[in-house]
Amino acid sequence: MALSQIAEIGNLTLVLGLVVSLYLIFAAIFSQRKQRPEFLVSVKHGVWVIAGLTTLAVFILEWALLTHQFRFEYVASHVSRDQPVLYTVSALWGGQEGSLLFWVWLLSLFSAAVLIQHFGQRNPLVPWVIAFMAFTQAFFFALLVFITGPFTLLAQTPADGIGLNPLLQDPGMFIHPVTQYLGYVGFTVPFAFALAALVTGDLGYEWIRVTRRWALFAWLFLSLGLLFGMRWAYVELGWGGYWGWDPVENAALIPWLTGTAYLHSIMIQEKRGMLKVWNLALIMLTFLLCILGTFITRSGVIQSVHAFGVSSMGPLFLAYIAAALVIFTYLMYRRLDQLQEENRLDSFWSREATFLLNNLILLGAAVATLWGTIFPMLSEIIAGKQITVAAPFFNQVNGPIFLALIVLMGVCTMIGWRHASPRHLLRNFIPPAAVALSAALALALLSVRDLYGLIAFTAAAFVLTTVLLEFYRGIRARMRMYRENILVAPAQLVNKNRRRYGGYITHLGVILAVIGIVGSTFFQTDIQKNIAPGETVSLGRYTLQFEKLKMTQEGNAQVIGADLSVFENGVLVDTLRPIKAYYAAADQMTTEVAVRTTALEDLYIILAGWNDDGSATLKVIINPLVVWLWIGFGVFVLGALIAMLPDPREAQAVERVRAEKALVGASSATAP
Amino acid sequence: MEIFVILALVLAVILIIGYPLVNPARYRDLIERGRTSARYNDLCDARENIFEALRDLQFEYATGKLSTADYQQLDARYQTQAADVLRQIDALQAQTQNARGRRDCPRCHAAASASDKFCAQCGAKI
Repeated sequence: MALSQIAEIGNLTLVLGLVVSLYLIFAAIFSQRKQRPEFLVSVKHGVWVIAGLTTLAVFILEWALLTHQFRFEYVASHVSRDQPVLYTVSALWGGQEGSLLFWVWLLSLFSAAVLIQHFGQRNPLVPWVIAFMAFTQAFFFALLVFITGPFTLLAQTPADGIGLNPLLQDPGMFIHPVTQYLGYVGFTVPFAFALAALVTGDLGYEWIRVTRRWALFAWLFLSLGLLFGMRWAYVELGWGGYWGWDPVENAALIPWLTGTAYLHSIMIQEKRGMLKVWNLALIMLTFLLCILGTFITRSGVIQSVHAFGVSSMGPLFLAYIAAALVIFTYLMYRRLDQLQEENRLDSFWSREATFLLNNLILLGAAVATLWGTIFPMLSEIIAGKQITVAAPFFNQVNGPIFLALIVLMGVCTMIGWRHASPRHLLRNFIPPAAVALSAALALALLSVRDLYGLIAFTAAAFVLTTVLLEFYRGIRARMRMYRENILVAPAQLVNKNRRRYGGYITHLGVILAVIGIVGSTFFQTDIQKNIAPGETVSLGRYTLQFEKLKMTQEGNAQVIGADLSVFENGVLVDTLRPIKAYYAAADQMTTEVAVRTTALEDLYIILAGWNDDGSATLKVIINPLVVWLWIGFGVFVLGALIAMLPDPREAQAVERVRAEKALVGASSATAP
Repeated sequence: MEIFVILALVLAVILIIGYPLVNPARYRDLIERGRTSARYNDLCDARENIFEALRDLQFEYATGKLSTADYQQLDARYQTQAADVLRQIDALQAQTQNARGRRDCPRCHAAASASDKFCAQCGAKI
């Protein structure tokens, strides 16, 4: 088959996808409004058809990438012949068209997953869920068909492609977009269920119960997206840090913040029947911010609003967001009388109140970050001049917000639902407060002089103690109540309430990450020096001896590296080689830093430049405690996974309900 | 060649999606069943939530986050709620069982749910 025919088929899958999506919206709604179940079955088939079509489209594009079909415009601009296979595969999500296809592919698979989960149980929400997911699919198909198709052919076949941006040729960038998109797309499911709940008026806890795990899944992948993005920035961008409040970073952080708020506030609806409108608003916000995140990352609109007009993607994204916003808000308004709170806040000293406060703070951080992110765009529209809001703004605003959040994390776990008695509160409060104060004192004695750093560490110590205390008390209670021994009790404690203790483990991870962030933010030291071979540069306990510059050819890059011997307190401990790599095909230079990691600190070395006389300019940074950021993330993920595991009790309950339901269903079916 | 592939693809899509519409009678009971189980769903969820709340309450009390007075008050409230929901579930079950041919206790003739192995009133084997 000729190449043009394959491209034709690729385009056809997208057009068919668009048509079928539009049909699904109609058929799903029609089946409910007119009570026509055969259309519901047709919808089910349609969902599978779309999953098949998108899979075929992805397959065609991957084939074109891997076999270097450079007549495809997308292949020519994202792959080159000397590019490693790994990054040829990942070129699928390395560019705009491919990543939009990737989005719609994930969405189609998620739709199919929702059907597998719920169709058999005849959940009345599902037709509406599918209708909305099809609406979203139709939007992305429309972008791919009318605006920016991945199967566009060039008039002539170039001999070689431009290749993937060298900065993206890193294992971190292979995995980061995948996790980020799994998170972005994943939030479509809980949002679609919320919308379905509003349409059907079934506004109890059901829509949250069935999507809690989806929300956790999406949130976990947003977190992983942040982790891999930060890790990539740390080792690949070479400026010594991992977070620069860059618009693209913020676009990933903002929905994570509102998603975190959502995961906490749904517990209040579950336990107390409160915050119903708030939860609906939060999931809407989170989903729309995910769409906005995709848009910001993919359109380049933040760099300049002029990018907005270049392709018509901008107005279309805004139209989609506006449509979803209007539909959802209208439905919410119509159901307002059904969304009455079942309970009132009993006391300010209750877990509900601290959760509410936590929500407000998270939302505050989200709003501040969003404002700083879109401010340059607004200033360009209004004042005609782009005023960039740099890192200091974000640090000043978000620093105190996050500090409050951390302290609250500790307070929250100590307070019971409804009402905490002052005596119990005091009893719970004293040990962590004592530990925190001793930690502050110890750090002050160790001559830690940075005030913000000191406060942040104290807060971290406070929360760490509350979490550990929580485990200690839980284990003790189990040993007493169930007569379990010291080895069984901790395992059973987590096992019997995976949501609660998974959550606490996640908190533990956050605190470890905070320790890493505070250490590397407030106590970073650096030095930059131009040295000749044989000379040394010293920072802290470390002395680096510069041996020589070495030039090599590695894969598709020309590499220059500085060989260094690392001495710690005068003893040779390591040899390191920070490098710069030049990618001729893309005419681009990348930095690869050399890092020596220990539990206490990272020695981070950048080859900043070199001269013809063989001398090199080195930037040496010591990032204290930064490894705990990555370890903390690991613990965090573990906790989230535990919270996601099916609860044995819940599984039993579902099993029982299912059995009973089958009975009720069978009897009603035979009823006259 | 190309035109055949395209036609085949389009035809396949239409056939797969259109097939259920050919014989609607087969799916007539689908929506009806969904509606009946919706209320049941809600009640079962409510029951699980209250049980969960009770378990949590006990544990919070055991880990010293609640005073005895608060614990007793909340415990009583949840017990009442649980009893209420269980009653409603039983009523709904009895109703649907009536429609199907009721199941009574052979000894005392109290209504029993289909999943019961023993009578809740007199303990006789059903």
